[in-house]
Parts: sequence; structure tokens; C-alpha cells
Amino acid sequence: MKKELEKILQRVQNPAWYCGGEYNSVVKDPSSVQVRFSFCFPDLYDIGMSHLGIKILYHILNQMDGIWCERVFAPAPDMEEQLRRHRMPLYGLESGESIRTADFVGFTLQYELCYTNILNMLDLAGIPVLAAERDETMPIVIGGGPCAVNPEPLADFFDLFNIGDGEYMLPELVRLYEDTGKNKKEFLQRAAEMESIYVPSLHKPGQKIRRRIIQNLDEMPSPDKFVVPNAKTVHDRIMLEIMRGCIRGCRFCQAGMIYRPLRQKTPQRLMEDVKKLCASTGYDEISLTSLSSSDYCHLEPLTDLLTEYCTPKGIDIALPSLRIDNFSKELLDKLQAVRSSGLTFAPEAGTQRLRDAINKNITEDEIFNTCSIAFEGGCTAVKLYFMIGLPTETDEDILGIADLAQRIVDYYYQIKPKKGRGVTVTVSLSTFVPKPFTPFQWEPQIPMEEIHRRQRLLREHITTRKVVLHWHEGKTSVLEGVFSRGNRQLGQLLKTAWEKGCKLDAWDEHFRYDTWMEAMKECGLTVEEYAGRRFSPDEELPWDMIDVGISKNFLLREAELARQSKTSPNCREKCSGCGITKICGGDECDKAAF
Amino acid sequence: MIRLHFEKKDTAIWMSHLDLTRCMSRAMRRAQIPVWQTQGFNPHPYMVFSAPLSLGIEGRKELMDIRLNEPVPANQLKERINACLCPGLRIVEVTEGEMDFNQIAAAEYEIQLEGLSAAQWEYFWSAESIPVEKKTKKGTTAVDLKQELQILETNWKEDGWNIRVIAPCGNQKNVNPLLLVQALIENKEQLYRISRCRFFTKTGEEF
Repeated sequence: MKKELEKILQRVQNPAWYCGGEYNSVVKDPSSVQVRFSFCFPDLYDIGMSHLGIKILYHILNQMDGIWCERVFAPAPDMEEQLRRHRMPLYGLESGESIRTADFVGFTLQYELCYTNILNMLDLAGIPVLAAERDETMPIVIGGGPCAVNPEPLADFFDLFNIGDGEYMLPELVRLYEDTGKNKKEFLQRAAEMESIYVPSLHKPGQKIRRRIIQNLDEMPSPDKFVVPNAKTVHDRIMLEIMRGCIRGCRFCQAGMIYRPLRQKTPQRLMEDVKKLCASTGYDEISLTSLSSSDYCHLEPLTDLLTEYCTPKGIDIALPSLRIDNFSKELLDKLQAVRSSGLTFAPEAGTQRLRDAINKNITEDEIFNTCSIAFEGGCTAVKLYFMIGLPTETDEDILGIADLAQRIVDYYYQIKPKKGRGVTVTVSLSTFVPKPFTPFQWEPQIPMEEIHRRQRLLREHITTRKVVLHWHEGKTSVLEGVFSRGNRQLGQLLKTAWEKGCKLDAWDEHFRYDTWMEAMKECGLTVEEYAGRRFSPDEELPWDMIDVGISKNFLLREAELARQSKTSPNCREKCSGCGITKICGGDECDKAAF
Repeated sequence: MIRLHFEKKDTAIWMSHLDLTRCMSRAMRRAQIPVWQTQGFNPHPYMVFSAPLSLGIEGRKELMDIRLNEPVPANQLKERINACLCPGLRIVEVTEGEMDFNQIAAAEYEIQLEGLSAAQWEYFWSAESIPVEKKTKKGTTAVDLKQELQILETNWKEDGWNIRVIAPCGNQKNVNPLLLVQALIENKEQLYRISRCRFFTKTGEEF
């Protein structure tokens, strides 16, 4: 290790975040590689290392000959201060070398409030933040991930975006770069011709960028190794992706739309992955990940295979993302056999009327059924996620949240009269943010004062200590609302806010709302015109050049149904004609998946 | 009881004690070592460590005890675990665990300090007492370094001042040699390296 870095690490809070040397991290001989790829996660190490996507792509790239992919995370403020003071550029954890010398600097775009970190990381590496100011000697800055479906707010800073699954696309991009003899200009020209690639500087008006998907997840290369962090991270365990996409079509949910169609892995293939990952990582916990795990068709056989393999080895299985409607006693037993800590569900809205409007297809009966199974099974803690500010929401819907929580408490005492432990119902409240490619993409977000009023209203109506309310201030949601539906003008705002010192906006202790508002004023922009405005169905949307496979007509139909508080069937019950078939081929999206 | 003597160097010095226990138990799983599991409500591999090493201090001969369900030859044990350890951690020796870790009372450290002159050191150490504050979970307590530390040797080595010191270590009393370094360099940004070399009992017997 360089002496300079050693000195720095002696003076920061979490040195293990910045020194590399984790088990399974890949160190290659620089002279044996042609292409260097800096995979950047624009947030702190313990968040980034919990992310499955970076683990998958890291190993796919490193399995390729001649390519070395390194990990880079946003430094915490104390580390940033040291780096700047010692004039040490941001470096890859594997080599300790500046990412400025890499061929590619790739960012995964998971959350709008990480955008300032991207600028900050580029700057820390001595890379000009504006794409137009980077010459041939500078790395090619690329982006992908869910936020890339509306790339416009970031268009000034990136050379290209990939829309869709990256497992095939990234290796192709790297090979194309080699084919051009590492010529940045030629590379960008040829990349711009690829159907899922958006190159802002070369984009022709009218040109559509079509999302690229992997049809068969079983055939996709999945990593047999994960980097095992030395320091504790948020999710420190094996993450097993059982499927991609979701059949539900909740109208606020972007992931449920932009990852269509549903694609499942077979239990056989998953078990192969599990065995390899357990052996190579030594983890003692596996969590099944997907948008809605109980919709996985082979959940029973998979959990059987998993418990058979894991129980003798003392490996726990966690199953987040369950739905209330198809949650069975058998499943609970299986999870309890390997330990479980309370239940978490997301009714999202307090009344049936609003749940229907957002197409969260769960009924009150189902909620109470699930609670009864859980309570009978000895569970005494239930956590419920709700959203406020959903389109068509009234005060009655807000009070419905308090009422529902109260009735769950009452129900517990009906089933378990007075003896043993009491029950805790935790209500976790977030604020609705309209997202591109959802039926609610045209809907306004409620203004800050209204967020506060509705939060207050709910607080006042929770009268028992058995119901614990968690809520979030709302300022971050407002900014998320601005960027989520933002256009290219927001590049100026982002740069201004960052220059004023905004970064790590997703962290309450670092978020500077007032500075953001100041920056908005300077740029002549308002929250109202981005987050607070109802977009017209006739207007051109900033993300219209991106085709994720969902048709605008479908979204408009769904929006109309929402206004009438009418539900739509899920994909398994009946096809609603979202349009995804034109990407996945055939008349219906993979029937075998259902 | 099997005693593993191991090094904790390079990037692994930034691993906290809690991180270390987690890393070791994962390494045991990867190496498929039949470590005996505790039988409580929350079974976990039985591993006992000698006195925790502070963050940023190198360990040249750290100790941990394990129990096995079935015997594994010592050299095989060493090889198998080493193949599964992260960079910086390495088993150097496998022995029987004879002495109890509770008997550890002191440890020898080697401190390297860049850019400290002999005169500076002489002046610093000639003081009657060197009071410093030690932060604990309960607050701060006063420690007199002059009384607690025993200097074995000081000399100029490579490009720094080299101090070999014995400090209280163990579950009775603990003085982190970093306190000495901090008192010496005050707030200056000087590079230092601290290594823990070996343990002693109350009677001065080496572990």
C-alpha cells in the first residue's frame, strides 16, 4: 500500500471501506490487461457493497480476458477531505490507481439522490464533469440501471447510457471498444448505432432507443463468486435473484413496469448458483431477491431444495418482498425453521378504494388472513409500508392507515387474549414520487406543505403505543420528484448544487435542502414545474426517445382506470396488453414463465 | 483445543475485531473445517480470540482457539484455512492451546514513527509522568504512560524511529500503544506503524 494512503487511512472513520483486499476481489496484472473498467457505485461502500447488480457485472467483466474491472465507491466526507488535502485522486479499490487512467468509468444509476455523488466522484478523480470538456485521453463515462430510463438530467455528464439488462451489453461495449483500437470517437459513433445505447452527443431527433432484455435468465452468466467485504455492510449475505420483472402492475411502481416481462430462473439453476456461492463466500445467510418473491412459480420446490441444502449447514434463508395475498402457513413454517424476525408487508394505501386505484391488488380480508397466520405462528411484530400523496388520495385514505393499523392490533388481542407478549405494528410512511414509464408519470407530486399536513394528520390519529409510526421528512422526496421526471435543463441545476457543496443527498445528515432551493433559484427553475405539475398526455416527455417496451396507450388506459378506482388483472390472470411483446417477441410474453 | 497463530497485516489491519471474527468464521466455512458449533439457541462456530487488536495495528502473532468435531492434521489445517483467508490474514502455526487467554497480561509492540529524532524522543520520555486520556465506553480515564509502558529498546531503523515497548494487555488492563504515538506526534500528520509482536503472562512468561 502507498504510504500516502496509509497515512490517510489512519485518520478516517471507516478505513476498511477504502483499502480493498476483500476475499474474492480480483487483482490482475496491469500489463496483462488491455481494458480497464472502473465500476462506480455513487454512494458509500456499505450501501454499494450490498447491491447485487455490481456483484454480477463485476464478475462478468473480470471473467473476460484482457479486462480488469475494479470497484469504486463514493467516499464519506472525512475521506473526501483527506483525499483532497493530499491531492490523491479517487482510485479503484483493487489497484489503488486513479480511475482517471481507466478506459471506462461506469456508474450504476439506482437513485436520483445519488446524482451529485457522480459529479463529485468524477471531480475527485480529476475528470471534468461535463462530457463536452473531456477529450480523447479521458475515460469514457457510461451509465446504466433503473434511473437510466430517464437519462436526460444526466445527459451533460455522460458519454453514453445503456438501457436495459447489462449482462450482455457491457461485455459487448468493451469488445466494441477494443475493435475500434480504443478510439473513443469511433467507439461512440458505433455504439450510438446499437439499439439500446443512448449517446446524448450523437442522438438524432426521432431516433428511438430500445431497451435490451435477457429473455432466459437461466442462460445468463451468473457469478459463482461474490466479493466478501471485511467490514459490515447493509446486506451482508448471498443474494439470490430468483426472477426479474413483476406480474402485478402496481401503478406507482417503476420497477414493475421497466423490468417487464417476468422472467424466472429454474430452481435447478438457482441451486447450482447457491452451492457455488456458499462454497466460495462462506456466507451463512441467503436472501431470495425479486420484486415479489411469492409470485415466483416454483417457490415451494425451491424453498424445499434450499432448506434441504441449508439447514444441515446452518445457513439461514431470508425471504423479503412477500405479498399478503398468497402467503401460506407452510411458507411461514419453513422460514421459521430457519429463523425469522417479524413480518413486513406493503399495503401501500389505507383504504380499499385507494388500493384499487393504485392497482395494489390486495383486499382487507387478505391482510387479516396473513396477520392471523403470522400471529398464530408466534409472530408479534408486523411492519407495514404505506405511501402518502398517491394520486386520488383524500384525508379519508390517510385516516384509513391509522384505522387499519389499529384494527390489526385489536385483531391480535382477539386471537391471543392478554397472555404473553404484546404486539407491535410498525407503520412506515414514504411519499409518492411520480416516475417515468408508470401510469402515474403524468401525475403531480403533492407539495411540501401538503406532505407535512398529511403526515401530521396521520400522527394525530394514531392513539396507541402499539402502533409505531416512522416517517420521512419529505424534502428528499420532493427533490427525487424533480429529478425523476427531469429534462436536460436539470444538468445545470445538478452542477450548480454540487458546486455549492451538495452531495450524499440520500443521507439526512448531509442533505442540504436549502442549498438545493438556492441552486434552483439561480438556474431559474422551480419545484412546481417539475414535481408539482400535472404533465399533459399530449406533451412530449423528456424520456420519450427511450422505449422500455411499455406503450403509452397502456399507461394512459391504466391512468384512466386509476381515476375510476378500478383494478387491472395481473399478468398471470389476463394480459393487459402493455406492449412488452414487441421486445420479447411473439404474441404473449413468455407463457412458460407463468 | 487447537490454537491457531496468525498474522494480521497489510489491508487486514483495517479490520475491526468484530470484522475479524466474521471473516475467520467465513474462512472456516469456505475451507470446510469441521469447527465445533456452540450448542445454544443461536449456534455459531466456536472460536476464541486472544486480546482484541485495535484498528490499524498489525498483528504478527495473534492467537485464536478452535475446537473441531473431528481431528484434522495440523499442517493440513493450516494449508486449508490459508487457501481461504482474505489477503493480509495468514495462519503461521498450529499448536495445542495450553495456556488460557485469561492469563495474558501484557504484549510487546513495535512502533515505527517517521521523522522523529532521537533528541525529540529523549526529551519526550524524560518527563516525570506522561498523562494522557484514554477513551472508554464509560468515558475517559487518565493514564500515565510513563508508569504503564516499559520501553525495551529504541533505535533508528529504515526511515523511522523504532520503539519496542511492553504495554498492559488483556482483560484486566489494556493500554493501547496508539496513545503513545498520539502523544508523540500530537496533531501532526505523520506516518506511524504499530505491530503487536507477542503476548506475556503476569509473570513475564511468553505465550
